[in-house]
Amino acid sequence: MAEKSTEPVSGGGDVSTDSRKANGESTSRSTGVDTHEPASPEARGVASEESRADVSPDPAGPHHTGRPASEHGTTATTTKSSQARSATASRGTRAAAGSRMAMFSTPAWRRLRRAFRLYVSRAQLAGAVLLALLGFAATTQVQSVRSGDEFASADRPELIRILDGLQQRSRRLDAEIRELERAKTELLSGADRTRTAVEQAQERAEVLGILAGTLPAEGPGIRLTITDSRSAVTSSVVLNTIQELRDAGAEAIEINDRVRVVASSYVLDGQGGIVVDGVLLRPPYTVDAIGESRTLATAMRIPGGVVDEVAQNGGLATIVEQENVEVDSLHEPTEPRFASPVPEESAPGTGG
Amino acid sequence: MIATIGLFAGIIVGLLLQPSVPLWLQPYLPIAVVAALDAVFGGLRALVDGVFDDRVFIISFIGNVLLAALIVFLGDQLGVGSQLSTGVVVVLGIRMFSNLAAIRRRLFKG
Repeated sequence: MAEKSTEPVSGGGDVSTDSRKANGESTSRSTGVDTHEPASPEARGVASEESRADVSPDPAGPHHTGRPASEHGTTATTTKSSQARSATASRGTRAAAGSRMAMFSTPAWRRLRRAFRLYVSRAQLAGAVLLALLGFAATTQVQSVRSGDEFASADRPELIRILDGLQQRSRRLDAEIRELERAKTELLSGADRTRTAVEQAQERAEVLGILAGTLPAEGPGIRLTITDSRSAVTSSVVLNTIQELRDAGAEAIEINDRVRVVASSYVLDGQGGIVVDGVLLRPPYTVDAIGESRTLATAMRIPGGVVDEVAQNGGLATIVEQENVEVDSLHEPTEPRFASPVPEESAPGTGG
Repeated sequence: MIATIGLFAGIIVGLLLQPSVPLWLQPYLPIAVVAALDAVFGGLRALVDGVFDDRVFIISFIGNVLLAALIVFLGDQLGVGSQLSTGVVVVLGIRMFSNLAAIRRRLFKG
C-alpha cells in the first residue's frame, strides 16, 4: 500500500521510459544521449534526476522525455536532440560528480529507502509482527539447539545408531578398565615388594652403617675418661679398653669425640699421646661407648680390668653412665683393594 | 523500519524469555524458521521490485511455514523425515540465494 501511495514519481519515470521504448528505436536513437540505453546507468540516473527536478530552469529533460510520442518531424527531433546535447554538455561535470549518488536513486533504491523510513502502515505493521515471530522462533530454536539437547531432535534410527555406538564404546571402555585394573594390581604388588625390599635394605644399611662407623649413632652408654698427667697410658691400655668394651657388647665406640673405632681401627703409641687410625690423640682420653651402660660400666670396673690397669700406670679412669651417648664422628670407609666378595652361589653358609 | 524494529523486538524477547520449545513443535520449528526466512527474502525482493503487497506477504509467510511443517510431518509419517527436511532446507536455501541475487541485480543495475 505504502508504495502505491507514493508511487507516482517513480511510476511516472517508468512509464515515460516505457513509452519511449514503445516509441521505437528511431526517436531514441536520434536523441542519442538519452536514457534509453541500459548500458549507462549514470546517464539514466541523471535523466531521472532531471525528470524529477521540475523546478529546473532547463525544461529539456522532462520536456523531451514526456513528448516524443507526439513528435514525428525530423527537424523538431534534431532541435530537441541539439538542445538535449547542449543541456547534457552543460551538466556533464555535474553528472560525473553525481554519478555515485545517482546510482542510489534508482527506483529500487528509493523503494528500499522508503521502506526503511519510520512511518506506520499496514504493510509495516504486518512485517513487524511476522518478523518478530521469525526472530522469536529463530532465537528460541538457536537456544534450544545450543542447550545441547541433541537427542531431542534426532529421529528413531538416528537414536538407535547413537545408542549402538554408545554401547560399543561402553564395552570398549569396560575392557580398557579391566586391563588397567589388572595393570594397577600388578604394579601395586610390585610396588609392595619393592617397598619391602627398600625398607629391608635401608634397615640393613643402617645396621651396617653403625657397625662400619659411617652413620652417627646415639643411645645409652658410658663415658670413660682417662686422665694421664705423666703420659703413662700407652696404646695397649687403650686397646685393652676397646677390647673390654667390645666384650661387654658396645655397639659404637668413639675416642676424644674425634675418632670412630671400627673393625679396621688400630692403636699405636705416638708423640705425647696415642695414634688411632692415623690421628694423634692427647690425654685426657675420653672414650664414648654405646651399649648396655650397666654392663659396660661393670666390665670396666672388674678387678684387674681397665680402671685398675690405668691406676697401675699412674692414671685415673672415671666412668659415667649416661642415658644418651652421642657418637658423632664418622669413619671414612675405603674401597677394599684386594678383598672382593665371594660369588653368592659358592658362598658357604648362604646356600641353606 | 517498524518491521526491522519488530524483528529485533522478537529476537530480544526470545533472548530474554529463553522459552523451551514444546516437544510437539521441535521437529517443525527449524524448518519453519527457514521457510519464514525465505518468505522474508521474497518480500524484500517484492519490495525492491515495487510489487510488495502486505496481504501476499502475510499469506506467503504463513503458507511457507505451514507447508514446511506439513512436509516435515509427511516425511516423518513416511519414515524419510530427515531426508525430506534436508531437501526442504536445500530448496529454500536456493530460493533465498536466487532472491538475494534478484535484489542485488535490481539495486545495482536499475
